[in-house]
Amino acid sequence: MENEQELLEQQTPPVEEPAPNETPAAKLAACILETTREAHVTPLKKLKLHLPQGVTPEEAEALLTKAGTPEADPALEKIAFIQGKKDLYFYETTLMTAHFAELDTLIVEKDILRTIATVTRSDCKLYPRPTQFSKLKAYPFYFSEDELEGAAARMEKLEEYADIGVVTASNGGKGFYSTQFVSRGYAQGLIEQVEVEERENP
Amino acid sequence: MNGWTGKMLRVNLTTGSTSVESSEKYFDYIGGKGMANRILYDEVPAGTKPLDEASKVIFAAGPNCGGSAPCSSRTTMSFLSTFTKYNAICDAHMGGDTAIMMKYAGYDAIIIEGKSAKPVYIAIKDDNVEIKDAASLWGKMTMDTVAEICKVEGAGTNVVTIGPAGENLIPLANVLNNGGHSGGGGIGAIFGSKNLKALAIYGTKAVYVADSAKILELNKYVLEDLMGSNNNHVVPTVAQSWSEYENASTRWTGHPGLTWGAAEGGPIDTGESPPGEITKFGYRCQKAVFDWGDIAEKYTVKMTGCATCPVRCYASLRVPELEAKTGVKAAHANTCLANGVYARNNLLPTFQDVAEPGDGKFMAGYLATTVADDLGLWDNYGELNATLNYFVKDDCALLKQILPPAEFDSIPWDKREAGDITFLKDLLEAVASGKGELSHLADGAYFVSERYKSLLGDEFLHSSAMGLWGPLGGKRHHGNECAAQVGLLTNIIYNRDGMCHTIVNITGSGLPYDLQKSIIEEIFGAGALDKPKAYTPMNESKAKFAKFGVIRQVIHDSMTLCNWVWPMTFSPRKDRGYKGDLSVEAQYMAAVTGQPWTEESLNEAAERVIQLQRAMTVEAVGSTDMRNLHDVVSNFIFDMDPDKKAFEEGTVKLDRDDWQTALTMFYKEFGWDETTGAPTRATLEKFGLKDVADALDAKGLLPG
Amino acid sequence: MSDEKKLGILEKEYSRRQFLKLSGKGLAGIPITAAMLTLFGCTQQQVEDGKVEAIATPTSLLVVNRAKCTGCQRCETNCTLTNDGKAQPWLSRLHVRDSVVFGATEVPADYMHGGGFLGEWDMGPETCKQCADPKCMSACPASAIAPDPNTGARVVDTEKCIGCGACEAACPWHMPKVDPDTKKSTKCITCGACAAGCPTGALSVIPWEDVVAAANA
Repeated sequence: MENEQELLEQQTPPVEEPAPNETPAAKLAACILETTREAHVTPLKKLKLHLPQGVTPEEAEALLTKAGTPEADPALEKIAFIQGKKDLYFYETTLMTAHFAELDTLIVEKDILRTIATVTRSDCKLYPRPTQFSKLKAYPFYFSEDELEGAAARMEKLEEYADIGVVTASNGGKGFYSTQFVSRGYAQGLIEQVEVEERENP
Repeated sequence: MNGWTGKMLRVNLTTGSTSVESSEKYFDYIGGKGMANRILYDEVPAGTKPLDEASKVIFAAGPNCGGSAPCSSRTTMSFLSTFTKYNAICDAHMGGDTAIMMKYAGYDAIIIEGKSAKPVYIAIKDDNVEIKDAASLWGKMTMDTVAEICKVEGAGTNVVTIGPAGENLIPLANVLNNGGHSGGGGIGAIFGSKNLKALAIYGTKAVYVADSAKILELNKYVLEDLMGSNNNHVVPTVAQSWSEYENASTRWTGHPGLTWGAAEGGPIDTGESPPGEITKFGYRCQKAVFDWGDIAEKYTVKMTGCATCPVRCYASLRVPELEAKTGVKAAHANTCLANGVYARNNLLPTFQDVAEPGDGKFMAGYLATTVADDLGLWDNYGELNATLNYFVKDDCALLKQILPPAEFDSIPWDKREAGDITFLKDLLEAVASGKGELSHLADGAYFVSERYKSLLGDEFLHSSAMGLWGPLGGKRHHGNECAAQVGLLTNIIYNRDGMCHTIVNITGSGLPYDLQKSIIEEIFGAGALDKPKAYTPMNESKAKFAKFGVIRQVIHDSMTLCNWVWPMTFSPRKDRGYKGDLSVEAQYMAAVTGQPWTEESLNEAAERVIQLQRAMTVEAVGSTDMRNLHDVVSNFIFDMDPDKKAFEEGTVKLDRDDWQTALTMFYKEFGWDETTGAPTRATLEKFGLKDVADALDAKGLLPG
Repeated sequence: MSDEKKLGILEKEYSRRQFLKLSGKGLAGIPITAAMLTLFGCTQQQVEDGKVEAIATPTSLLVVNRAKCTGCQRCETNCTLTNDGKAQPWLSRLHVRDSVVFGATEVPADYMHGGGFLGEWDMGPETCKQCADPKCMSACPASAIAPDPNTGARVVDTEKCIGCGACEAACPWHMPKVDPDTKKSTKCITCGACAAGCPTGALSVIPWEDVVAAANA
C-alpha cells in the first residue's frame, strides 16, 4: 500500500527528550532501583565501590543515610534501608517490601543461624507454623540439607537460639520452631499438618 | 435475553425425540446447580434409583457462564448418586469447555432422559440436535472417543464422554471432557445405563450481556486487585520482592527459577507475578510441582485448564520415557488429588525406576491417573484408592476372602512384587471391567461396606484409613481438618464428598492467622476462625461462617463460577489490607443480566437451592431425622490422636457432644428443626417452596 | 525529532515493510538480537521451531508465542465483549477455540502426539495478519474494507458493508465473520484487547519503536 509509510509516520509518537542532568541523588536512586528490580538489596559498601559517575563516596553516604527521613533528597523518597549487622542495605520501596529486604539482607550477610532463627520466629508468630527445611532449601535461601542439620546442631548449644528446636513429621520432613511462640507439642502437630496431612487433603 | 439463553434442551433417549423449552421458570434458582436440582425435583420421582429408566441427568450452567468472568466455565450436572447411601440428589461439577459450549449453543440446561436401545451419542450444533449411533465407539477409551467424535463433528467440538467404566455401570464412573476434566458422583454409570456414550457440543451463538463495559471493568478489578492463585491463595510459596509474606503450603508456587521445564523451545521461567500484572497471572500457579513434587518441573510443558480461567491449575506434562516403557500416553493433565492418587499408600509397595533413580512413584502415579481418566474411572477424592488399599493391606487379607481363588490369581501379583508400575494399569482395568468381584470395590464405600458387612463390621466406614466424613459414604473433603466444626459442617450438606471450597480457600490463603481472623471475624463475629490445630468449642459465629461457605458454593455452582477459586474473601494486595470483596458475584450478576442483583438477593436465591436440596434429601432418606440418619460423622474424627484431648493444641480431633451442639447451631442458621435437622414448613415457604413443603407434608416428612 | 529522521530509522533498520518481506512465517530466518528475544518473551529455539509468529501491524508487532498459550480462550471473549458488546467467541477476530482440543482445526491422525488438550499441548491463536495485500479487502464487492487513517488497520466500514461474507471466504484464515445479529462483517481493528487480557503473555503487542530499539541493541 502506498500510504503505509505515511500512516506509520503519523502513528509514531514523539521520542522522549533525554532527561536533564541527573543529580547525584537521582543517580544513586537509579542504581538502587536497578538492583531492586533484580530482587536484591544494595549494600552500601558495594555501592561505594561501584559509584555512578560523578558521585563521590562521601556524597553517597551523606545522601543515603538520610533515606527514609524527612531530610531525604526528593529523588530518594522511595528508597529505604535495612540496618544489617555488617552494613546498610538499600532498596526501592514500590518494588520491594521491607520483609523481602530483610530476608535478602540476612542472606547477603551469610549468617545462617540468624537467618533460620529470624524466619522461624516470624513463621511461628504469624501463622503459626514451623519453618520447613524444604522452605529453607528453596529460593531465595538455597541452604543444603547438611547446612540446615549443622545449623540445628549449633543452635542447640547457643543461648541466643535456645528457643529454636526441630520437629519431624511422620514422612521424615523436618521444620524449625520457636518456643517463644509455640510449644513443642503444638509444633509437632503443625509439622504433621504441613508435611503430611495437607497433602492427603489437597 | 441477557445472561441466560432462556432455553433448555430435552433429549429423550427412549423415544429419540428432542425438544427445546423455556428455562425461565427456573431463574429463581439462578441457574447451574440451582436450576438442575429443581428440574430433577420436578421430573424424577423420589424413590427412583439412579440406573432406572426414569432417572435423569441434567447438565446446566448459569447466567454468568460464557460472559467471560474469570473461572466461569464449570458445568453442574445433577442426578441421583450411584454410590452413597439413599441414592439421594447429588451434583457434580466439571471444568473444561462444556459449560461455555452449551451456553454458546444456546442452552442453559440439557435434560437427558429415558434409555436408548443401543449405544448412541448426542450431537449438538446450535439448534441442530441429533442422536447418533455409537456402536463403533462402545468399548473405546475416553480419549479415543473424543478423537473419533471430533473427526465427525469437527475438531473444536467439546465432547463429554464415558469410558469403559461407565459402560460397565461401575458406580464410581465419571464423564470427562478435554482429557482430564472430570465430573464424578457416578454420572458415568448413569450414562452407561442409558446406552449414552457421549455428548458432543459446538456452539456459535452469543451470550448477551446487559453491560459489557461493566463486565470488562469487573474482570480487570478481579484480576488486578482481588484474585490470587488457585484456591485464591493470595500469598506466594516463596518470598518474592513484592511480597510481605510467604507460605510454603499455597498454590502460588510460581517464582523466579521455577519453570515450565519442557516448554516448546526451552524452559519458561514462572518469575515474579505481582498483583496487578494481568499478563503474568497465568504463571502464578506452577501446579506440576504442587501436585507432583519437584520432579515434575522438567516434564512441565505448560499449565492448562478450563475456558475463561486465568489461573491454569492443570499441570500439563509430557513424560516420553513413561510412554516408551509402558505404552501409556506421554501427555495428560488432571488436577488436585486425582494426580498420583493411586501411587499413595500401598497398592504398590515399591516402584521400579523409569527414567532416573527414584522416579518410580511419580511415574506410577502419573500412569495411573492417565489410565483412570482413559477408563472413565472416578477416584472419588481418593476413596477408591483407600478402599483398594483397605483390601490389599496385610498381605491381601480381605481381598483373599472376597475374591474367588481364580480371580485372585488372575491379578498379576508378580508385577506388584517387582514394583512394576504397570500393575496399577492392570488393576484399574480390572476394576473398570465390571467383571468379577474386584469391580465391586468401586461400588462406593457405603455399598462396599454393605456387601461385605460380615467381614468389615462398622470399622471400615468409620476408619481413618477410609477418611469418610460419615458412614453415608462421602469422602471427607476439607472437613474437621479445615477450621474444625466449620469445615465438617459444610461436608454434611452433600450426598457425596464435601464439595465446598469456600472455607479451605480462606484457611489455606497463606495469610497470617491474625490477618485472616480479623477479616473473617469482621464478617461473622468473634470466634469464627480458630488457629490451625488449636480449636475451640462451637459457637454461633462458626455456624454463620459454615453457612456462608455452603451458600457461596451454591452461588458459584449456580451462576457459574469456580468455587475452587471464588469467592474473593481475601486479596493479594497490601494496599487493600488483604481484604477481598464479597460483592463481586452480585456485581457480575447485575452486569450480565441487567437485573438488580445484590449480595442479599443472591444469598437468598442460593439458600432456596439448599433448602430444596435438603428437602430432597429428607425425601430420599424417608425420615425427618437427618441428625441421626444423614448427618452422622465417622468415629475417627472423634477418636484420632488418642494421646490428645479435643481442643488441645496440635490436634484436629473433635468432641462428640460439641459436634451435636454444632449441628444444632447449624440447623438454626438454616431455619431447620433444631432437633432433627429437617427443613420446616415455615422455612420452605419463606423461600417460595410451598409446593415442596406440601409434598413433604403429604409423606409425613415435615418436622414437628 | 523530525518525521524524516524517524522514517530514516525505520527504513534503515527495521521497517515494517522489510519485516513483512522477511517474515513469511513467524520470525524464522530473521536475524534476532538478544534484546528482541527478551522483548518478545521467547527463546531462539522457539523462533526456530516456528512456535513464535509475529504479525506486523502498522503500529506494532503482534507476537504469538504458542509455547505460552494455555488454551483459556480469554482472548476471544475479551475481543467480542470489547468490540461487539456481547460474548461470542465464534465471532472473535482471532481464532483459538477450534484448535485448543487438538492444536489444529483438523484431528491429526496421531492425535496423541499432536497438539492441544488431547495431544501434547501445542496450541495458539490464529490472528489477523493485517495483510499488505489484504484478500478480504480486494474481495469486498462494496469496498467496505480499507486502512483506518489513524491505525492503519484494515477495518470494515459498517455503513458500506452488505454482509455478503465474501471477505471471510477470501481470507486464507477465514478471519472476518459476518455477525448474525448485525449482518455486518467484523474483523480485527488492532484494538489490543486480546493481548491485554492474555494471562500468560502468549499474545503481546509491541510498538514498532521498541522493536527497532531492540533490533539495534
